Amino acid sequence: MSRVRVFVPLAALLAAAALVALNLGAAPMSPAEVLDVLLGGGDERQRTVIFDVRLPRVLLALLVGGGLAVAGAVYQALLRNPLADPYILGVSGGAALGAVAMMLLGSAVSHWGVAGGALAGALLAIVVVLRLAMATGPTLDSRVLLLAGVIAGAFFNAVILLLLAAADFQSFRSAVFWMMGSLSRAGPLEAGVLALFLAPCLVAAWALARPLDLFAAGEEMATYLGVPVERVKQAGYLAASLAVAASVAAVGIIGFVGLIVPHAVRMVWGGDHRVLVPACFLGGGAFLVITDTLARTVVAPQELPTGVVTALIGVPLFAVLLVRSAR
Amino acid sequence: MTACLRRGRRARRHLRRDRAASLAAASVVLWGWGLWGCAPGGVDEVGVDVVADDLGRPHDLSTPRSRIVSLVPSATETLVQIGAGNRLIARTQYDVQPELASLPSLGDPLSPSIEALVELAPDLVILWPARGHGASAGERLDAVGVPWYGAVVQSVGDFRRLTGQLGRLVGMERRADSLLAAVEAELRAAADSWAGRELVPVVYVVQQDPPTTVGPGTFVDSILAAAGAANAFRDVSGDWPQVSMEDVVWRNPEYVIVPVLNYGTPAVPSREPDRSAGALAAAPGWRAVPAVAAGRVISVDASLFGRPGPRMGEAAAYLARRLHGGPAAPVG
Repeated sequence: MSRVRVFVPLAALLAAAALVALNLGAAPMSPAEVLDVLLGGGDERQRTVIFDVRLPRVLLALLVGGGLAVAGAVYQALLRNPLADPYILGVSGGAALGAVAMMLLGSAVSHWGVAGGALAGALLAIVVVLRLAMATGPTLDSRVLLLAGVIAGAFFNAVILLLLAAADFQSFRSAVFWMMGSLSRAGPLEAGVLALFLAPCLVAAWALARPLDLFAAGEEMATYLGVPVERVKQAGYLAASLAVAASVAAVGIIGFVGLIVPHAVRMVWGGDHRVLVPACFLGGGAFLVITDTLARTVVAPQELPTGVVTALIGVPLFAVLLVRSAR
Repeated sequence: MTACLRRGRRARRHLRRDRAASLAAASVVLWGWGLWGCAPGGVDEVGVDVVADDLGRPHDLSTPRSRIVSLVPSATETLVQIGAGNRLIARTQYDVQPELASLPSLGDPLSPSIEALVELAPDLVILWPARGHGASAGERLDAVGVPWYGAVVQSVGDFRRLTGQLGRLVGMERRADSLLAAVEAELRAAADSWAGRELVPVVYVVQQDPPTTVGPGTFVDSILAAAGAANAFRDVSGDWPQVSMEDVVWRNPEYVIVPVLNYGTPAVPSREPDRSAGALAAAPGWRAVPAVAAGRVISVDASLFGRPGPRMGEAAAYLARRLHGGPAAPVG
């Protein structure tokens, strides 16, 4: 399969989705006006809407969608489990715990404080799960890793519920909405910071594509083929988990992108990770840009939670792909 | 059979006429005060006076209630204001009036301990049956035989209706009527205080993230109107709609109003420093709203503005002063 034949249509889809997203919104602006603003024209209100609200939101959706889809693909390969999604190894639980703890400290904590708390919580979860998974032996057993992740996640959730039980109504509500995930936390600076965090993780995931392919044949076979299995597993785990940590810290927990997009890409273009990883980034980015645009436009001027729309659109789409690939 | 049908038809015709009459009344009177007199109630089969709560459940009026637990802070304020504060036998964590300080606190009113309620042996519990939460508390109270009144209060009209009903339940109709008249007078006075000036477009921030504001028909919208503020999201449906950040930027309100816990009111000074304006100015999206960038953020006390109770007039007068000048009351 030529990579061009995969990447060109996906990149075109992503670009088209981003263009449409930039043209849709509460502010009534024609495509000509949007173009004018992008080229440096327009009045101040139009410039604010495009550069401070719409463009950062599209960028954030692209980065988060792409990052989560790549992380999902890497987890699915490492754990050799088709049900693995970016949140299965407890990273999101740790992030949520960090964020909720910061929110309970009161209104004095800015959104950077909450994001920092989420990032710290996620890093804690990553280290704890890795240590747990390594505790059973010198090698990283994917089954133990999965188990460690799931129980760490369950523990974090229990602590979150404990904190929320003691929280007042206002904090409770903020915490629940934070965990539901929202892309309206987008600003130009936030999108830039997320890009800086994600870039090394995504490059690492792509660099691991070849060994991950050999993994599909089984760990033993990969060892015979000269893959440094342990280092690949640890590097893959860290790259994917750090990408998830950054995404969750930026926008909260948005489901289904990281589970469905890798499967969809695999069904259409096959499981070669050198194709799969970048295709997941482009496809995940396009998917989240499209679903988020729907979330903020279908019932305008009201807005739907993006995580709800990803499931509502993603699950039927996935079912169709599943049925068609079975034929 | 035919007689029954005919009677049904006649009843429907009556209903239609009543509805038309009350609609007309509502449209001529400001701020939903037209719901006056629409309070459901009547006489049941055996001739005992009853009132129906907001779920349509009947409450007989044979004996005035004397052991009341209110889990709805605005209803608690109403009971205190009409002089029935001494009938309250417990409070919630949000009822911080000095009159109630000696009462035992039940904590969070949304998840009351049924055991504690049974222990208190109230003859009426007022609770908010919203979203299954209170309804399940109601079901559990039914199971243990504690009578409860379901109060759903979103608008000024709802406040009117509940105040009338509470007045009847405690046998203080006159005082309930005079409280209603006083609140109405305060709202009118607030509206008169800025008469002749232009309405100021505002966005009221129920929640920062995701951006959530107030819809038309809510009591907050009525307070804003009485204070000379134009709710920028009056055209949105729903009581507490979630809106897009872009829409807030585009609608470009002159002021952004943020309710803050324990911000303080002219009567009760602040206990905590207010960081809401700074937090809003740092938040992505909100900082792009020109009013926020220019520092035109007005903090208000969350309990004063968050309760459809007897202090709505005070809230409107306070906001009118902040928006339209006049002697601004020092706070904090």
